[in-house]
Amino acid sequence: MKEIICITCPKGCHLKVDEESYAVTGNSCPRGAVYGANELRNPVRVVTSTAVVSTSPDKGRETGEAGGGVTPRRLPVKTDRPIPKGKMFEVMAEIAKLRVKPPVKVGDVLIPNVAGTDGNVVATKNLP
Amino acid sequence: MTAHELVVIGGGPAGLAAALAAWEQGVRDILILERDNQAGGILNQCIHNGFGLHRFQEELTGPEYAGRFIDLVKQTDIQIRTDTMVLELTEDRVLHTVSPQYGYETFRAGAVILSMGCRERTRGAISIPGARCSGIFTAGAAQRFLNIEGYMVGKRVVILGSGDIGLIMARRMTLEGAKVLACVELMPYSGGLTRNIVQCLNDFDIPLYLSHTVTDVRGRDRLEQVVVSQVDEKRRPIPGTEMVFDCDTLLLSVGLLPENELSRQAGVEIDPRTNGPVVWENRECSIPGVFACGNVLHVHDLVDYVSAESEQAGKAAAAYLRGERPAGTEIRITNGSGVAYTVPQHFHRGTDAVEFFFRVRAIYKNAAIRVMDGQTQIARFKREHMAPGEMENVKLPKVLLDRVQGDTLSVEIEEGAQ
Repeated sequence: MKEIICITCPKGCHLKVDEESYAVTGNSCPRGAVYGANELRNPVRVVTSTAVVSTSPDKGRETGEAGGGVTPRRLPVKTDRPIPKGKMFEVMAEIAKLRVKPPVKVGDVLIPNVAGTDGNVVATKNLP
Repeated sequence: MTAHELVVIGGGPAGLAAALAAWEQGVRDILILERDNQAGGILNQCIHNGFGLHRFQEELTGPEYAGRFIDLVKQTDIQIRTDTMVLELTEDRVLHTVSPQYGYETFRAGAVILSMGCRERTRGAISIPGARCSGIFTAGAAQRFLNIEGYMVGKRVVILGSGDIGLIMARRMTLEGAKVLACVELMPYSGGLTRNIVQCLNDFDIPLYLSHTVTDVRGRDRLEQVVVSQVDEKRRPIPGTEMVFDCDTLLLSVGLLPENELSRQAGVEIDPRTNGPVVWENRECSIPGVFACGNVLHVHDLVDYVSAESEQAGKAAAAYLRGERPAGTEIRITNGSGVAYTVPQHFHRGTDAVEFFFRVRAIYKNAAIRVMDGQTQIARFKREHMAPGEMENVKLPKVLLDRVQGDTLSVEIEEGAQ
């Protein structure tokens, strides 16, 4: 039996999941049973991080425009789907190698199939 | 002095949503003043996901959530002035600002929306004893260093406070290669969302010490050690329970305070329970034509609720500019047993539905929220689970509000309700 806390809703039920049959007890709704079984079978997470922007910082100011300003040093990124929990640090290592050249739009794929998963690393911010 | 119909102070999620709502209501001369070099506010550094589940039915990161509103603003003639700091707001709605590009300026506003957000409590605010070495940051400052500027603030980290920012930073620092030794919480329960305890601490085997606090800080130039002690029911450290952590960084996630210097200066009445303005149901403050929304009004857990509240303020500002004034006598709302505060603090008799937001004082299981008019119960809402870390809300329709006889409503918690 493995004890985990359900994160499907704010209640935070304390679930007990059988390691062999994936039977769940302690849940107060069906969603808890699904979460509990998945969490043991194949726990997945979305990884978010930032990538290096490969232009010189402070190249100029464009005040007055929404979202404008100094060229940022970092571009926020994420995996576009949850990836296996055990691969998180591999994904981070690949993101660390990235050098992003502007322009980039939200959703642009920066690393396809990161760390051998079916997830892609995508931009989460526009970089003009 | 330039005049504008509506001036919004702060271009974060609250200011953007308020300005957009006012635009949709027909206000065409809107200026947003933002002190950072970009709009989006704190969402720019909140690169993790989990935003927008209520509003967009999907899990967005902070920059994505902000980006959607910034894109909508770009499709309007709403002006955003970045790098512009508001120095003073007067009671007759004159704003004094300074910016590198235009220097000192003044603006006259037909209506003003306060959306300045909140600020983190610091070491000084909670009086942590010990050495005055470097290496002690608020969690949000460390988040900005890491996610915007691209600097790691340390390698071996202890986090004091289990608020959401602290939990998020525990995961973020770990993913970037730091060792997070412990998360320490004074209260017997966490102040953060359960999902964050699971995804940010449990995922990385970071221990959470409840009913513990930092009792000493050691280090000459840089932080070297943090001493953590257990506390009793009265939150006093228990001698003999000390644990010593060798670390170079202490992050503080010990609460947020609405940033109301401008509001106070202007003479806006402040509620000591929320540290934010006292507002009517339309988010109008004690000064007519001045509205408040988002974390400057009360600290929210979810940006989705900030957007919804800000749209209310934006709509109300538009109505004010059209010359509409709410009628009806005042009904005040007080916090009864188990309730720490309510927003709004008062409303006009005869108004449409009012949604009350509040926080409870303790963890409740199988309890009920009661709205009382003296001894008469106006409404009762069952809740399986309530916690101080999770903002509650109840919506009272007009038919119920019209039953109120007295001039005060009380929101209270009934324990052990089945």
